[in-house]
This record gives sequence, structure tokens and C-alpha cells, in this order.
Amino acid sequence: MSEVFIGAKSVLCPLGDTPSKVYEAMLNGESGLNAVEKPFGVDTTSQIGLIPDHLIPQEHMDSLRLTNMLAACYERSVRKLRFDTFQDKGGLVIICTTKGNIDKIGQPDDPRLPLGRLGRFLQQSFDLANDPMIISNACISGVLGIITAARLIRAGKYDHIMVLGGDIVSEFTLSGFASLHALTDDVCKPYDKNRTGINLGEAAAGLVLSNDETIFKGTCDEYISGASSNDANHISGPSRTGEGLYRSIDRTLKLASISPKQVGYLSAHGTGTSFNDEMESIAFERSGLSETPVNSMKGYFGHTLGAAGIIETLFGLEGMKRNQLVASLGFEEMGVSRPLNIITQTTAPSSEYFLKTASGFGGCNAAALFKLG
Amino acid sequence: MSLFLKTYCQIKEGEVHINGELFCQHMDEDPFLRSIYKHIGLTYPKFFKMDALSQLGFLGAEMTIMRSEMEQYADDEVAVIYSNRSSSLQTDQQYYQSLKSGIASPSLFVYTLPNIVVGEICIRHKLFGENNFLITERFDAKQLIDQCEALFQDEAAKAVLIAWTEVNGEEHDGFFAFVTASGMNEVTPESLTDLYLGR
Repeated sequence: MSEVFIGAKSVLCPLGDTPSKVYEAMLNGESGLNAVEKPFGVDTTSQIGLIPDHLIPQEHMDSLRLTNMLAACYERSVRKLRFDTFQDKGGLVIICTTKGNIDKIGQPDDPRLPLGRLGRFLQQSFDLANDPMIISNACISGVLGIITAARLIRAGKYDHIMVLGGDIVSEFTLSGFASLHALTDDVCKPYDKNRTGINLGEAAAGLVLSNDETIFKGTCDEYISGASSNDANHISGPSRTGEGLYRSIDRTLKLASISPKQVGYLSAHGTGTSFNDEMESIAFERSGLSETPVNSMKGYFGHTLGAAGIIETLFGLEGMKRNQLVASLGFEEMGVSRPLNIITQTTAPSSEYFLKTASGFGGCNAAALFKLG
Repeated sequence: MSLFLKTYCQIKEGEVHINGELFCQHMDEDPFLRSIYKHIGLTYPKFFKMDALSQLGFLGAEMTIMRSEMEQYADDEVAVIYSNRSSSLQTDQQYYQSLKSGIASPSLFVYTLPNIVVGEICIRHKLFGENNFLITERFDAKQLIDQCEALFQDEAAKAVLIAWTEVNGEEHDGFFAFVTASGMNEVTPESLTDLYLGR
């Protein structure tokens, strides 16, 4: 298989707007989650992760929060490349989002509400040669965007693809997760005995995948393989056997011809709900990953939905590069039935291979494997 | 690489066409999607819990998969890649109305993700393969065919059910195609667009 490189990180999240600053905050154990009185009018005590307004550049094409977040990440990732490659036909932008401009839901005639319009604004603002591709596949959107990008490059369809993930916190999503009783009453505690649910966070993040490592000004890493698999079990509950996640990991490692023991770090989904975390522990045990250093980043900026796979891959790669993996914030006492090697203080990866996984509504699961560059 | 078309199905303007032939028309008093459900003799109570987008996508999958010799594939060799323009907007609005009327409906909220229909299809047909849901402004055969090619080259699938599923009130625009890595009837983005447009 041809080589695919990954780099040019950009981020906007509750903890800041540069990858290095945010990662340092994470290493210090800081969280971007905050208590807000009745956030967006929703009756919940669950903390949320909001990007401070002053961090979101306003000079872009319209007043929409998500569009401005994505545009800022686009520009910052492009600045980390030797040239802006997305204005010619060999370049593509993939946007990963679950809900797009859902803050406009109360204004049904707003032309920016349909998700299909989200790409048009970026295309026009940045003069992109190809219409952006939009992936909306629940909470695996980001990881699936990375896998899709790598496959399109390997199939010779494009040379360079920027994967942008983004979702905002809104009345719509907060009230919805509240109606499902999925929100924690305070802060999330992935894999902990006392976990009670998720926090929502907003973020945008970007990564560039390319068949040419010389386009990156700085260092880059390597994308090795990836796969997605459906549980074929339930639309809103995870499989009891972790079937889809297990299959995603199994296929990913087989494609790479490596054994589970060779994986040096696992960045898991770890939402902090009872069912998700338990399902993951089962799937990881079945996959032979019980001893692999593992964390969830949800305690740092919440569940960022469509952005989660991008931002967590980005900080996973950052941790690999620094040889410093962050603790799984919120974890104290083991609360899943199968053994996991949860990172409780800054630690080094045990090899150069990094595995990212995600699971979501619709029974979808994905895994992607990277190698430190 | 060459791709092949096994079966295609269109659900639009009160008619269902399979491989270009008229299969059924909306004549009775039932809503269109329910009349198709009855016409194909389905017994699947979960169908009535689904939102309109899932019902449309589910019926198209049912009629396409039935004619695509599924038994030759392992349970993870068939991918499902759907697309549309509006994501789950119609259900988003229904959920939002429930919220504004004072009781946010969890059963509606679950359907406010476009890929739920893909989950419904995977449950029905026990498909453990690859999934994706793409949002495009209009039916985009090139994006869908590119996805198939990328999956086949990565050996991630041997066949892909691709679809366009757009719902706006009682207007339905569904197009479903079963694309394979080997076969007889070669398909290109241009030929697929022609089939979608009924040319």
C-alpha cells in the first residue's frame, strides 16, 4: 500500500486555539468544562465545554459560529503547508460534523440550515477547486473522515485531503442528550466506577493527509490503516459484545500486519456513559488490548461529536510526538468489567503505533492506526 | 478500476421502479411509503417506529438487496453508503417542535442523525460491514462511485449499497444501487447519473 502522511494540525477548543498550548494545559490536568446555569435554557447541571468567544475569528463570510470555527482551522492548517493545495483539483476538503449549523433550527427559512450548504460557504470563501465532501456519521464522523481521506488518496482520487471536524454545543443537542438521560450531572468520569454520563463540548480541528510528505512545513506522521464496522444490533445502544468495535480493530491491525501487543497507545472513545465504556472494555479485551496504555480525552473538552475523532487523533499524535500521553481525566476507580491499562499520570507510549477508536449511534464503530513519523 | 451494477431501484413521485421497470404505483389511501411496505409483503414492526428518512432508505435497501444475490457475501463484505442534501432536517424540526412544546422527545431525537437509517438496514440484513453517510447538495454519482472504488481497493468491501435519500414532507426522492467489484454490467458516474435522472 502506498504511504499516506498526516500533519498540519489546527484546533479550536475550550482549552485554547493552538495544539501545543492546549496539550500543555492537558498535561497540567486542566479541563475546559465549566458549570453554566441552565445552559442554552436547558435544565441540566452537566458542565459544558464552550470555546471562549474571543478565540473564534469573526472575519469570515458570515456570522455563524461553526462556519467561523471551521474557516479558522482551515486557514491555520494551510499555513502549516508549503503551499495551499486545495485550490487545485488534486486537493479536497472533507468536513466531519453531526449537526452543522443546528443553532439555526429555530429559523427554518435560513438557507444556511441544510447541512449541504455548509461546504458551499467554505468552497466560495477559499476558492476550493472541489466541492467539500461532508461526512455526517454520528460520533465516528471524524475517524471515518480520516479513513475515507486515506482511502481516496490510496485509490489515486486525490493527492492531499484536509479533514476538518466541527460541532457546536446548542439547545438542540443539549436538550436531546438530556432527554436520553445521557448527560452526567457534573463532569464525566470515563471508565470510572462512579461515571454517570457525558459532557458536551464544542470544537473544530483539522488535519491534512497527503501522499507527499514534503508538503508539510513541520513534522508529520504516518497513517497506516483503518476500518469501520456496524454492530447490526441497535440504533441507539452499543452492542453487548462490542462486535462492531472489535471487528473494526481486528481489520485495522490485520491490514497493518501488526499484533495487538505492538500497539503502543490507544485513544478510546470513552464517553463516560455506563453502556459505552463497558462495551469498549469488552471489545478491547477481545482485541487483545487490555494491557495497552489507554485514555479518554472527554474529560478535557467534553464530547465534541463530529469533531471528536479529529481532535482526539490530533492530540493522540501530539502525545506520541512528545512521548507524553495525558492521563484519562476523571478516572479514579475501575468501573468496567474487563481489564484496561488506563493512563492515570503522564506516561510514555510503549511503541511507535497509535490506535484511535470511536463508536456512535446507528451502531457504527471505527478504528484507525498511525505510526510516529 | 471497473465497477459493476447489480440492481438499482428508484422511489420517487409516487412510483417505484426496479432496474428501470415500473414495480408499483401509489394508488391506495395509505401514505406512499406505507403502501410500498404493504406491496412488498413485509412484516417488520420496527418499520413503524422509524422516521420518514429511515423508512424511505429502509424500503429502497429492502428491494435492492433482495435482488442482489447477497448469499455470496460474508457478513462484513457489503458496505452501505448513503447520501442526501438535508441530513435529518425534517426530523430535526419535529424534535425541535417537541422541545418547544415542553416535552423533548427522546424517540425523535434518536432519529436526528442521518446515518440512523444505515444502522436500521444493518440490523435488518445483519450487515457488519463499512458505513458512511455523505451530505451533498445534489445526487453526486462521482462521490459515491469514488467511495466504492476506495473501499474495493482497500479490500474493505466486495459490494456497496449506495443511495440518495431525500425526504421533504410527502415528497420522496430515493435512488438505490448495488455496486460490485466484479460482474457484468459496468457502471460509471455518468451512467449512474443517467439512471438517476431516468435518461
